[in-house]
Amino acid sequence: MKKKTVTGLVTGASATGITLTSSLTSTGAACTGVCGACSLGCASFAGLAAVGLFAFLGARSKKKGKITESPQ
Amino acid sequence: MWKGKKVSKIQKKSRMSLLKRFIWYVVGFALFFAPFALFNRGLAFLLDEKRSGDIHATCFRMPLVDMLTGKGIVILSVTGISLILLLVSAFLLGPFFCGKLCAAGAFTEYLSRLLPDKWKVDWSKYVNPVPLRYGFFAAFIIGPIIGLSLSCSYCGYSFFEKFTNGGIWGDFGVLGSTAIITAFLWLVVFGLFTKGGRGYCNFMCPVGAAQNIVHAVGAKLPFTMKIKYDRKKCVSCNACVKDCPMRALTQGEDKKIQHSNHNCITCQQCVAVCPTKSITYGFGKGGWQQEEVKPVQEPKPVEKGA
Ligand code: SF4
Ligand code: SF4
Ligand code: SF4
Repeated sequence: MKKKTVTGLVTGASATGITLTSSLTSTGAACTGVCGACSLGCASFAGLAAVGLFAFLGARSKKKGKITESPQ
Repeated sequence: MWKGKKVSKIQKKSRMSLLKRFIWYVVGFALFFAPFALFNRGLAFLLDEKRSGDIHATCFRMPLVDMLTGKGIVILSVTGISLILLLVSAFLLGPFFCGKLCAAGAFTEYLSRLLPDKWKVDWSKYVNPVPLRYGFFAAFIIGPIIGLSLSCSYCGYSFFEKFTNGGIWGDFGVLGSTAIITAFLWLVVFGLFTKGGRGYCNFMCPVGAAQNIVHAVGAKLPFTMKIKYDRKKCVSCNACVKDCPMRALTQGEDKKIQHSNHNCITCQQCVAVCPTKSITYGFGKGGWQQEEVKPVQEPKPVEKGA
């Protein structure tokens, strides 16, 4: 099997696995979107993700500031 | 010389196409999404079915699970008819609902177009969206069959309805912790800051994934409508790749364009911007290269003065 197919299958299976596993937890199954029901602090998760995204964008623009060479 | 002229012409064409598509999405919003949901309400009225007029009438999760678990499905119901229309249109025309009618997907795309490209991330460069979206779709189907409940709170559809209902009636519904995450992921990370603005469509949406599975099969047949390509006419200007909201187009090492039916929503934005009419939408063969050509490598950054 080609490497690309194997990577695709692993990625797809991981996505299925993660989604099913997360819904196995009481949080996934009981989640109604009511704030505080799971006491996991989702807002802080969103905050962390925001910091991650902006750090990523910052790092990328810094990288782009450097001279680039064309692929040979 | 023609480059300068064509660029502004391409931008004009792109804007015209966006405007035309916008009109379709407004129609789609009125037909399928609360508070209007005219299609769902009209059909429920005709079939004498008592159900609320919102996007859940057209969500196929439960009918699909009912089918797979042997409970069967009532064809002459709002969900039954919607499911058939959704899949048949995807087979014959491509993901018509996504490309023309789904206001939820369009909302983040148009929002993201307001930001300059340098602020956006092209996630498809880091991970192939196709296996991910099909993986989520598999879990979406398998979950309820094995007795697991997947939370609808993470659905971009639902959130879009809460958002628009809130804007129109002041009724945002339950805006809890999961809504905060959904809003953040759907609207900000995978909307505003994503190239194309359709991260939710590309990575997670089960309705889109189901249509693309059907479209990928349908596109192999000559009597179905699909995005087609004429290699000889293509001047490799890359305008189509840049404007594709689903990142379904890439440029190969030979500078020619590659296309994926597994995430193309047949929105025809690429058709509109192509200056040489190399990309069209119609019947017949797709014309996309069968043998694999490596996508163009990103230029490697090197330190200044190196
Ligand atoms: S993929 Fe889902 S959210 Fe995106 S346009 Fe299609 S149905 Fe709408
Ligand atoms: S390939 Fe063309 S039709 Fe398909 S999603 Fe991209 S722009 Fe739209
Ligand atoms: S298909 Fe059209 S828009 Fe795309 S690279 Fe070729 S000429 Fe340019």
